[in-house]
Formats: sequence, structure tokens, C-alpha cells
Amino acid sequence: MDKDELLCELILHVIKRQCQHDFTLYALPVLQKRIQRFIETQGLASHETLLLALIKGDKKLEYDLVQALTVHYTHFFRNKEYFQLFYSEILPHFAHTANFRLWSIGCSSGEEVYSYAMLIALRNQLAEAALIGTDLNANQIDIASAGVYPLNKLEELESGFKSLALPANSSLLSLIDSQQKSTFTFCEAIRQSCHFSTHDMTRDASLGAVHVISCRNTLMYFSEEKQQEVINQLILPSLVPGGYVITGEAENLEPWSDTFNLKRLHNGINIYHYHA
Amino acid sequence: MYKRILIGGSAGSFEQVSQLLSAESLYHCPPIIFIMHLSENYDAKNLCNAFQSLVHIKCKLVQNHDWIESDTLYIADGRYHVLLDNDGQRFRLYDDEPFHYAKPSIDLLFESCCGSEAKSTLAIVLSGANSDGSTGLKKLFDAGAHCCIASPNNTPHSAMPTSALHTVPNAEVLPDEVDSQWLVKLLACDKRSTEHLHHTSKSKLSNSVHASASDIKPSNTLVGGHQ
Repeated sequence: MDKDELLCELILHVIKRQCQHDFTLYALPVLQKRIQRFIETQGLASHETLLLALIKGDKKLEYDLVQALTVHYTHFFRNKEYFQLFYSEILPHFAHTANFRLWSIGCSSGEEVYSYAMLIALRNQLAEAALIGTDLNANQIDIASAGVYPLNKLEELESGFKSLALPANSSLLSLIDSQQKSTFTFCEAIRQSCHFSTHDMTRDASLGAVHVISCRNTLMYFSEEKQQEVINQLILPSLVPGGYVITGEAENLEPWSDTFNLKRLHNGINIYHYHA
Repeated sequence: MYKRILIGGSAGSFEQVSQLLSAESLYHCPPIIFIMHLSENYDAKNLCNAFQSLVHIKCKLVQNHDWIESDTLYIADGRYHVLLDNDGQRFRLYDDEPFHYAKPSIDLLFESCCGSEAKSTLAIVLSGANSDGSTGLKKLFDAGAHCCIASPNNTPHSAMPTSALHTVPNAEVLPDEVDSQWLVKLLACDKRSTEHLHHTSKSKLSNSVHASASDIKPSNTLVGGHQ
């Protein structure tokens, strides 16, 4: 083990002792890379500098480091086939559902939630809908709640939107507000439908009466036993019968489909119908 | 004895890997894990199918939590970083931004294999236009892995092997013209040396059995006495 690896372990130990955040769930090489990236973006001289500042009680740095270690990777309409099926196959089931609720667990900075919201708006089902995005990372939740993104994200959004098979008259312009020079946001109706909050999926309570749960690229970090526990104690109790669970591409629930009454809609796509 | 072969490459490495693994006689080998930088939108099933038509071992896409199996070439897609855990026997995928512009990160795969399992690991860095793989290769080398680098003289994109060679100057450089027999010969050699080790240890074991037998002679005598 080289010096920086040892220092990373000490940094994680200090974080665990001082603010009870335990990152043992994550693989050490990934944490080492994230700590390295944090040191570079913060302009710190070295691992020693970071460790000493944490030991001396720099709370701001400690908070920022925890946020940097829990950040998730996301973008608008990521994995377009999932959003296509959400639009074409899932939403029509809820065309006449009052109080439609979608819960995005591990929503990071909100791009996924707004992507769903745009499609719900295109189906004219937004008026009675509520989209709830939750994440462990408070900084990301602040970004998601503000709903304001830099203009380079608009290119990503446009490209994702164009890649979907939507009715010819679908207009992205009606869904966003790009009046600012360097940022854009979403129309009032979308912003009012999306709600964000911090939530720890391993500890906090389930929600009720949710029609669609999107839990993508979060379960994959858990052991198979822990995954089953989260499905059993958090996801299924939150879903209405006939609801849907959407997981990430590396999160195949098919082996447990009988156990949990989940039926996969299409081969190779992790969208499941809950037929309890 | 090699228990896994890790190969990292980027631009230009597809042809090199095809060449390395194309021997008909390569049908029995440790698991081979090939990480190539890919776009997130590229469907790696196509790459997997392409390899399946070129090599004589099974080709599979890397899946989270899968145990790695011998006689199999694993291909990673561009959507996740790939690590090994359980002492290098099982895949673990990570959803994160690219590290140093690279995804899946070759460094991360290599670094995840630096425990006691490093000594039974063969790691190879091939063609590519960035420096991914160098840091991981250095850590693997220091942990006792057999580390090889494509010759920068005859590589479509030499930045990656050049960087690796700069970071790990004592790694083995592959011949300028890598043919399909290079890996076959290396594995045969590895097998022979392992058999030799087995043979030696068997002899030692048999000596020690003899020694034990003589040690317990008094008991035998005692047993004989009962007779």
C-alpha cells in the first residue's frame, strides 16, 4: 500500500469518526479516486493537507468531502430506451389516475426527475402528478430543488429529447424557460410538480401510494442480501398494486421476480410491473 | 499460476486483442477481462459478438456481482466502471463520471486487483490515446503481478503504452509483432512451471509423509504389540 492509499484510509476513518458517515459500502479504489479528484478541485496541496484540515475540525471541508464522496453520476434522459418505455407503455396506464406519484430514489441533482416530468407533461398528465426525488446528498438535493442548470446541460437535454420517438408536435420549448444567458430552468408547471428531499434508503421510511419507483444505479452498490432487504422493506411497501419499478442497467431483479411478484416488461430492460 | 488476465486498451486495441486471443489452441485459459474505453451509448453486445466470431473461448458481457469463470473473455460496456472484489473473483460495477476522461477506467480495474491476488494476475496495457492504465499497472507491478505493455513502436496509438512504460519501466514489453501464439506460449509455460511446482511440492509432501511415517513408528510397534 503506498502513502496516499494509507492516507485515504485515514481520511475515511476520520470522516467515519467525526460525522458517522461509513463508506465501507464502496470499493476503496473508487473512494481513492474520488478523494484525489476532491483534492484537485479544492486546490489542496496533498492528501496530508486534507487529513490535517479534517483533524483540526474544518467542518466546511468535511461537509464538502462527504458530498463529493456520495455524488452520483446522472444526466437528462440517460438510457433513452427506459424513458421511451416510460412514455409509451407506463404512462398510458395512469392516464386516468388521480394523484399519480413517481418516486426517484437516489435522484442526485434532479436531471432524472425533470426528464420524467417533461414526458408526463407531454402526455398532459402533469396537473395531478407529484414527482418526488430523494437522495442522501444534501448538496445535490439543493441543486435539484433549484432546478437551474447551466446551458451546456441544455444541449444534453435537447439531444436526449430528440432521440425519443414522441408525437411530431412535441415541443421542448414549451417545457423549459431559457430566458437567462447562462442557465435554463423548467416551466412553472413542471417545477411545481417536482419535490426534493434528503433520504437515506438504507435507514429512512418508505413512502405511500407511489405508482412508479425509479431506483437506478443505487441498488448496485449493495450486496444481494441488502438489495433484497431494500426491495422488501422500502420499495414494495411504497408501491401501489399494479405499480412499476425501474432499476439501472446493472440491476437485474429478474432472479427475484417470483419472490417479489415483479414481472419484467421487456428482455434486457430493467422495468418491472408489480402485480401484488 | 495465472488466475486472471486483465487487458486494458483504448483506440486501436480491438485489433490487438483479436490478434492476441485468436489462436485456435487458446480454448482453455484463466478468465480474461478486457476493458476498452467506449461511449456510453455504444451497445457493447456488438463488441462481444464481434469477439465471439474471432476467438475460440466464450465471450460474455460483464455483469454486476457475476463470479468470473475460466475459458471466458469478458467485455465491459462503457456505462460503468468495472472492479473485481472477493479477492479478484467477482465483478463489481460502479456508476461514476469518467476518471481522467476514461470510462470504464483501466486504472480502477487494475487497482481493484492489488491485494494478495495480484501475484496470480497477468495485466496487459495496449494501444490508446491517453494515459489510463499507467497508475494501476504500477500498483499491480508493485504488488507482484506480471505486467506487460504493447510495444509503442508498433501500436496504432502509442500514448497509452508509452505512458505505462514511463510509469512502469520494468514491465515486460511485448514483441513488435504480437502473434496469436504469444499468450498460448506464455500460458503453456506458466502451466509447466506450475506443474513443476506441484511436482516439487508433491515430492516434498511425499518426503514429509515418509518422515511422518518414521516418526510414528513407535505407535505402529505399539499396534503391532497389540496384535
